[in-house]
Amino acid sequence: MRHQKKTVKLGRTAEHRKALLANQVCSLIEHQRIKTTLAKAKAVRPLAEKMVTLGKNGSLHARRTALAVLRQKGAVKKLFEDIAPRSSARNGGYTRIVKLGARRSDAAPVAFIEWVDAPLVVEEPVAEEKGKKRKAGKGDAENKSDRKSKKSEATKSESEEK
Amino acid sequence: MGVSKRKTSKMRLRTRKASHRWQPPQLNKCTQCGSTVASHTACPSCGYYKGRQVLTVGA
Repeated sequence: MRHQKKTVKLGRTAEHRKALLANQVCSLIEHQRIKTTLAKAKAVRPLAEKMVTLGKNGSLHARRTALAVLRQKGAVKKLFEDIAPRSSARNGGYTRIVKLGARRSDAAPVAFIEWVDAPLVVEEPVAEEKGKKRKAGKGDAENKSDRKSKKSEATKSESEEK
Repeated sequence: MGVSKRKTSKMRLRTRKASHRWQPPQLNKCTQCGSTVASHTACPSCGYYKGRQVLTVGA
C-alpha cells in the first residue's frame, strides 16, 4: 500500500530526483514560467512553494537552507529579492499549473508551471517575445504578420458570432 | 475449488462485456474560439484558458 508515501518518485533515485527538482525550481525562478510534463510540474510545485516560504522569511539561515536545496546562488538571490517579496500578501499557492494537453511524440501530458504573482507583463509577454522573434526573423515580413493577426482576430470574432 | 454449476448464458456474458465498452472522451467548447478542447486544458487552437491568453499558438 502507498499510504502516507507522498513523494513523487518520477522513476529516479533520490539524488537524481533532488537534482532534477532543484534545477526545475531554478529554471522557474529564472524564467518565471516553465513548460514540462504534468507529473514533473506537480512534483516541482511543493518544492517551489517551500522555497518561496524560505524567501519570505528572509533570514540568513533561510537563505542558506534555500541554497542547500537549490545549489545556485543566482537563483537564490532572485528568489529572495524578487519572487518572495511580491508574494508577501499571499499565504501559499504561489504557483499555477496550466495543462496543455498531450505531447505529440509520446503523448505525455504537458503543462506550464508559473508564479501566480508574476507581473501581468510576464503572462502576455510570452506572446510579445514570440512576436518580436517573428519580426526579427522575417524582417520585412512585419506587415504580413500584422495582417495575419488581424485576420485571426477577424476569424475569432466571426466564430464568436456563430 | 469452486466449480461453476451452469454455463454463462450469451445474455449474461454480453451484458457484462457491454460495461467494458469504449467511451469517447468528454470534450468541451473553447469559450474564446469555439473549437473542441479537453476540459481543464488550455485551448490548443487559440491559447486561451479561463478567459486569459496563456500561450501563443502557431507563432
